[in-house]
Amino acid sequence: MDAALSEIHRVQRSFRAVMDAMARPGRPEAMPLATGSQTRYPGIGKPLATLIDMLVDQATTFSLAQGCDDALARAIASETHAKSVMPDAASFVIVPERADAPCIEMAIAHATAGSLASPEQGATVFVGCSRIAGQDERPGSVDDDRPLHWVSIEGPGVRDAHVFGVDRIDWAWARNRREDEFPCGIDIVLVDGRGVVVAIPRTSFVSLLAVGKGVK
Amino acid sequence: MEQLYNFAFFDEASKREIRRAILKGIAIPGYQVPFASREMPIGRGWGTGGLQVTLAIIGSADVLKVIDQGSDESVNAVNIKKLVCATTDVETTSETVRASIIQSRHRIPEEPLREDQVLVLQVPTPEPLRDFEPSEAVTRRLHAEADYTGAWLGLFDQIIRYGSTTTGADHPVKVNGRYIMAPSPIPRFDTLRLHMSDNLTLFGAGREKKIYAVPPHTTVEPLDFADYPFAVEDFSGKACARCGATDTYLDELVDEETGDTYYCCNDTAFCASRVERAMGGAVHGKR
Repeated sequence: MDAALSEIHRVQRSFRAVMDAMARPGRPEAMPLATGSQTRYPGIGKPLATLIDMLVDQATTFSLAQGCDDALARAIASETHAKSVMPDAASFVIVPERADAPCIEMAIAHATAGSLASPEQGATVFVGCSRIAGQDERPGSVDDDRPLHWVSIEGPGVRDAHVFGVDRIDWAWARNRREDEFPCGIDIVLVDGRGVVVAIPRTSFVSLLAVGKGVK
Repeated sequence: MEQLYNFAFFDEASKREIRRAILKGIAIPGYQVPFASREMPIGRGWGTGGLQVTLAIIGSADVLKVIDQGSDESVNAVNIKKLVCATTDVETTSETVRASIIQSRHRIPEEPLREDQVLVLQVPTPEPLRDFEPSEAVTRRLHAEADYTGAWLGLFDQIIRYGSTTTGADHPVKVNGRYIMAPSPIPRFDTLRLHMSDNLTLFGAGREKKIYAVPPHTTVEPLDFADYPFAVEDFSGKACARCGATDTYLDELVDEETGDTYYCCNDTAFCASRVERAMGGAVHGKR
């Protein structure tokens, strides 16, 4: 199988991971990443680059979280042919892992919620994280020194509750402060350094359970 | 496989567009997301919406089942299967339990679907309000405002005229307490299977250029009135002539020689597997 075809298969498997994540909010899914090193987008890792290549193209618009350099925006625009626009007009909002809490706060606060007539125009927000852990991952297996925030998700796609751990929680506070009214809203996709994705669509109820290395 | 087309027929940009619509559809349960709806090598109205959804999500590890009115072997199902196989080389099956993607027209399989399975339904008329409002601009506004008076009045009108609601299939449902949705022309018998299901259900309407979805564990309530509750088709006292089932959706058939009426399971694969089990596995043919 040649490289181009195997890449098409890899993109399909990655999309299915994101689709499954969106259908089951709060449940981590492992997204296969492209082989080789990621050099096209400066300053972001392969997992975020995988999401960008999977969904962003010339038919869409994007906005980078404030505080990110222009080089990354130029690279995304030239690689995907998507147009870089103001945060409140972008169909995709991209928050790299290195963005600090005020940056992500601004990015999420300004993201468009769509309109009642076209709620699908509500933004998809990609948030880079360093570590996402599933509920069944034992505390000892989390080798990172940083404590994880254990988050519970309820809503469509979830039977009782899905619990996952993530190293940053700023996105949740920013999302809660938006107070979007369904069907308008934003859909957040968290991705960690290994390519594990968790989706939090606009229908989800997010609550913080605990901070620590495991679920209390 | 000789590679005449890109994997799964579409170019990658087309897949991205359909995939974006699928993700928004899942994020907004029951809302019809507009999409570009490509020209397909089959006519619009013959399952192009479902086909486009299937092609955008399918991968080499998938096992595909396609059914048309409960049958794996009808012309529409066979041709869709042939097209998907010719461009993806995936394995096909008629056994519901083995399939990872099930594309269907007019039925949900009798066997309960699992969480690792995706149901793709072909939709001729995605707009549940179309009966009384011909304008797309107006129905979009009605959905935006959750103004569903017309949908309720339609059912009320049927009750006044005929004594009960007369929607044979495609009975309107309310999804996640917000959007009224056409569940595609599945019989009432199948409508409740969408409610809090373990599997993801995707709907594709090719001619009308809409994609929508019901995520797993999402409420799907058929519209009804307290004094005229929703009821599924009644097959009491009837059984399948082949497998003897009394708990499935039955087709009414006429024996052309004797003129007698008899009933058979509409889901042929489910019926065949039940017959096979009853024969102790001795019969390997499908019929």
